[in-house]
Amino acid sequence: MQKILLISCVLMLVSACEKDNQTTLVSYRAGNGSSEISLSYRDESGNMIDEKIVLESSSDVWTKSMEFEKGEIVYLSGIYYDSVASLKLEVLIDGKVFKSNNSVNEPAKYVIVSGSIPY
Amino acid sequence: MKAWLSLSLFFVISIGFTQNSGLISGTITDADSSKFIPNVSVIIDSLKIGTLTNESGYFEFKSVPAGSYQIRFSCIGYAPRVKQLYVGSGKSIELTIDLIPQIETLKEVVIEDSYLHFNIISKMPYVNTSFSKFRIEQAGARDIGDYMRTSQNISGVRKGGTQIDPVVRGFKFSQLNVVLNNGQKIEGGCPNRMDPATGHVEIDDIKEINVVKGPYDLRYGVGLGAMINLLTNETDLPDSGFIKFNASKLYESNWNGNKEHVKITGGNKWGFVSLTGGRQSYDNYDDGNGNEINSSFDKLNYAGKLGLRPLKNHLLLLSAEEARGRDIRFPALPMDERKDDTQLISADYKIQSVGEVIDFINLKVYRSKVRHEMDNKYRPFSDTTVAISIIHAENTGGRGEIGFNLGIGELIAAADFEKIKKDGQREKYMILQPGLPVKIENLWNNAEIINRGFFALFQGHHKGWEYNLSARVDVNSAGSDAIIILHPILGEIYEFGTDSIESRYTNLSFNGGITRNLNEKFSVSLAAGRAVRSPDMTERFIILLPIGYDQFDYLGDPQLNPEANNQVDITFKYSHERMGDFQLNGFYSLINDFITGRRLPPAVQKPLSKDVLGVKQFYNAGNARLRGFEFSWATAADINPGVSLFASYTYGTLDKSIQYILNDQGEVIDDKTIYNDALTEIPPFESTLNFYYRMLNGRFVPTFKLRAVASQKHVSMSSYEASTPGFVVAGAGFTYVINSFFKISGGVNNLFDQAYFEHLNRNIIGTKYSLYEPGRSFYVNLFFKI
Amino acid sequence: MLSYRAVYLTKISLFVLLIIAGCKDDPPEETEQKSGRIEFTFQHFLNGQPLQFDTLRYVNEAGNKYMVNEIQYFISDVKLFGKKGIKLIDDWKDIHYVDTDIPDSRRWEVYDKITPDEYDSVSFTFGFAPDKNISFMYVNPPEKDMFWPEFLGGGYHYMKLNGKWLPAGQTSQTIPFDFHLGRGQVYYSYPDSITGFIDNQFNVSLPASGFTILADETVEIQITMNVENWFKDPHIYDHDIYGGYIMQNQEAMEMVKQNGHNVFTIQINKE
Repeated sequence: MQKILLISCVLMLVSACEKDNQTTLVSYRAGNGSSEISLSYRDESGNMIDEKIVLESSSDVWTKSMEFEKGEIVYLSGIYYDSVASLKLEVLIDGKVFKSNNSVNEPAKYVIVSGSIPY
Repeated sequence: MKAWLSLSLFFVISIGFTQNSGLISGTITDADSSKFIPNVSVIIDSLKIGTLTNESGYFEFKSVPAGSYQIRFSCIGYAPRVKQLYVGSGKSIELTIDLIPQIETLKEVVIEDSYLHFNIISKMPYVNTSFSKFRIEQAGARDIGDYMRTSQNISGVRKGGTQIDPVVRGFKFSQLNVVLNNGQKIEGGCPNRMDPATGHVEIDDIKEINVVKGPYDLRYGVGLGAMINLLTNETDLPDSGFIKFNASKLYESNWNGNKEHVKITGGNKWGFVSLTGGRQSYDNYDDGNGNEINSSFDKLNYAGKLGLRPLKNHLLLLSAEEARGRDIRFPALPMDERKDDTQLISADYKIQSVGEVIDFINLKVYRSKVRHEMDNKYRPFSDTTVAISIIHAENTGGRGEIGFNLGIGELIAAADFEKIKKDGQREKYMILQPGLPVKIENLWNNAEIINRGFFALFQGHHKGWEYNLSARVDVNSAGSDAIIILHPILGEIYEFGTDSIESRYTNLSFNGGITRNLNEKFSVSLAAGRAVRSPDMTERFIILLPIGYDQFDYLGDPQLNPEANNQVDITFKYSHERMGDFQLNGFYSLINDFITGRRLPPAVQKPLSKDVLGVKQFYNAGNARLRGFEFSWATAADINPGVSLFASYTYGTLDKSIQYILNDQGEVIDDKTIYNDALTEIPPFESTLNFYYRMLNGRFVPTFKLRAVASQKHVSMSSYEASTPGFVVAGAGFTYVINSFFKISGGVNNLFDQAYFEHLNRNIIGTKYSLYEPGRSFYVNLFFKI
Repeated sequence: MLSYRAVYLTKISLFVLLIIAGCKDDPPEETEQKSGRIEFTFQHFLNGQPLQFDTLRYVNEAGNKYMVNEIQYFISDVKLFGKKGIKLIDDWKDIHYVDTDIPDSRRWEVYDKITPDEYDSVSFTFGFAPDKNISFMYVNPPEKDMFWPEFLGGGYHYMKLNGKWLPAGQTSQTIPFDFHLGRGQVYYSYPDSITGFIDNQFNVSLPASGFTILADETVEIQITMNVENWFKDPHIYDHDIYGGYIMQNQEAMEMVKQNGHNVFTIQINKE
């Protein structure tokens, strides 16, 4: 009888330890632009990657997806040179928009969108 | 779901057992010579039975009904002793009792495992309080600092749900000496003291906590306000073959908190092994107003101890412990503890009864390692800057002590060594700036403090007088690599000079005390002394972090002078057979070179942390004074119902300080000198009344507690400290010993769901609102042992 | 073996000694501090009248019709020139931020105790000296939001004067202008390859002869920014030429710096 209790207590403790999923799918998206853009984004290893892109029209969209660990910092910035250009940047987590920003809100010719992925 | 499962399991099993009678027997020996003591009076008050030990020191009681009892042992020439035990149905218990020899028959009361809220150990001329495992289990406690707050004149600083930082009589942080198992030190990682030493030790591993109030116990280092000794090592394990298993489970309703702990111990006369493991998983609690407080945390710990007895009276004890904390939230701080990994290892060698003159030899080496990671990702301002800090802290040390029996008294001489190393940096990701600049700031840069100490204590007695004298010398040196803050593009931008970072002090601390036992029931003690402590890591080296109770970035000063406490304590103890035990203590403390912070102009240093009001630098502020009293009364152990009453008060002032005058916009426009300003973070007057009633031969004991705390209006003007309203809180609980396998304790904390906060609770960061204490919470604590 | 009496006496004397040591010193006599105080107030005028924000009613020297939305700027290293010597204001704050959206910022009650003296002028740096213009030194708003991007030189804006103007040929559609001053860049080939940075702060000297500050007296020093002067002397500044954004146009910022020489005027008021 006592042995049964012993085993059940140990089992109770062991089963109490849980591990949940620690990574999530993040997508960077740039759109609503009309010129050459210098993009800079943070990848899943923490490196900053630079990429020069051209958005042909306002419906042209650039995206990049990566698996990030929860809590990691996500960052996307775009610098544009045409003074009448526009730009919209977004970060999506599991398909839902997490952060969004566009050129209307910014003083100089750059847009930044960033944050840390919620746990 | 799991809680219900275990609850039902326990009750199903307990029904199966029936009431029978048991046997209590034992052998009583002299603690010094190990010889058997005949004619010791052994009495069980509640059964009104008693006997005397024979020439072999042996006694027995047959046909004892199953139940919980207190047995009293007394004999002329020895200090009396009380033992609490439970006799199971049809079980026999064999005790081994040591009695400590004493020249005078003093009615000292040494109470173990009692329902009373304190133990008086009156050999010392100052206040010495002990918390036993029995008492901790009754309370359903989750954190050592939190639990210690239930004792009088001990409070704590709350910054989150757990890891509360103890404060004794207004003395706090490095003014207290917290040690593990007679000497191991733990340096926390966090500059904000998210993880004080008491937060690194698992409360379920505690056998006893010993608190000596005042600067008087210098054996394990210098504590200006108190010495707190956390004991987790087993001391009296049987020395014939045994195996024991213990498990416990605590559930707290308000927090939806679960705590589990298991322990397996086994051994024989050659040695023993002990393995323990525990887990805590707590969600947010609701305060008395129904607001949810972000207090959640997860902790896991496991430890192994190995004891070997190569020779009679020799013991080698090896201990290794690992603790992991995850996602521990601190709403009062700008960051949360993301990950804490702690390793504590130690090796002790103890020899008892070495010879005629040498009484004991104790040797110890230890290492404590903490890796502490914190970030601000749960704070709103992490939208603009994400800050991540990683800190490594390590204590390595050792000590050796010899106890001599000189006939006229006892002499203890000891030498110890400690090295603290601390290194860490904060990375600030400026996530709203082009290019994601990362600013790296040193929090500590290979900072190191080395302390060598020498200690001597002489304890003697003569015709109704007890006296002791002790002294300690500490040689303390500290240094650090250059403290640099790196600008992401320009490189170094701040550097705090390398040539002024080194410091070296030799500190002398000493004290003496006398106790006069006027008759068997009454004693008066006087203790006086001076203790000197070197400034800690934070006070010397911290670079711009908001670590205080105020919203300022703090800057260290490597050239700070040591802080000294000169204190006098007078203590009266009175023991009455029917009325119970009384203790009254008063103290006066004069602190020299009191260490606190003062504002620095923005022209000299601007803050680095978000939302802070400015910068303060640690400095020696001159003289500070603390005075106070504590009063305790508890009815005798055999009185039913039992009552205890406690009251305590501390009044603290700073001789001279500067108040900066602010205009309506919060800008500094002038300054003013203030004399005898209140010290900050001093707890107010408080009083606690406890009741307990023993039923079913002591197997079932309900308790009730009422705690009244006065408002704290004596607050620091120069620091613009806020006053705190008073409050009354009630609690109820019970302990039920089901049988010799199962015990259950439970109760309600904050019975009337009061919304209140302690004066020492910090404000939720960025607001003027204090962290409120939890609202009503039911707890159930199940214990199983074989 | 110690006699208990000897030990007893030692303890009592130790106790008494500690009590004596514990006696407090009497607070020292307060020594008279003979000094005066000053207070700066900042006001913003256009064409001799208090500036009316957000209304398109002004015309600059170049003929642009414009409005002003807000003005934000830093002054630092304020000095008072007296007969007994020069007083540098840096006992508490050495940099002051003015923001037309934050009324409280337009008054600076100076912490420094001012020696009673006869003073004949006040000077300050508009912006910051280069060694004081350090990136990330401000962590809290509003100063934090004046950051000057790292890739353009870092540090902080000396001034943001934001408004809107009516471009030539337009009758109603205004365009925003960011009349900003900060660290300029030298380009090898605009907009790529920055080869160096230029600091654009300048000294403002305001003679105000014969104002005295007496002990226990507070003197108000009123600094007025005459906004129209940013756009005319010695350089006529045309928004149609320089456009809405000059942070990367050192030629434009050089003009702003030089026009700044007569933007500020001073008046001393006594209580």
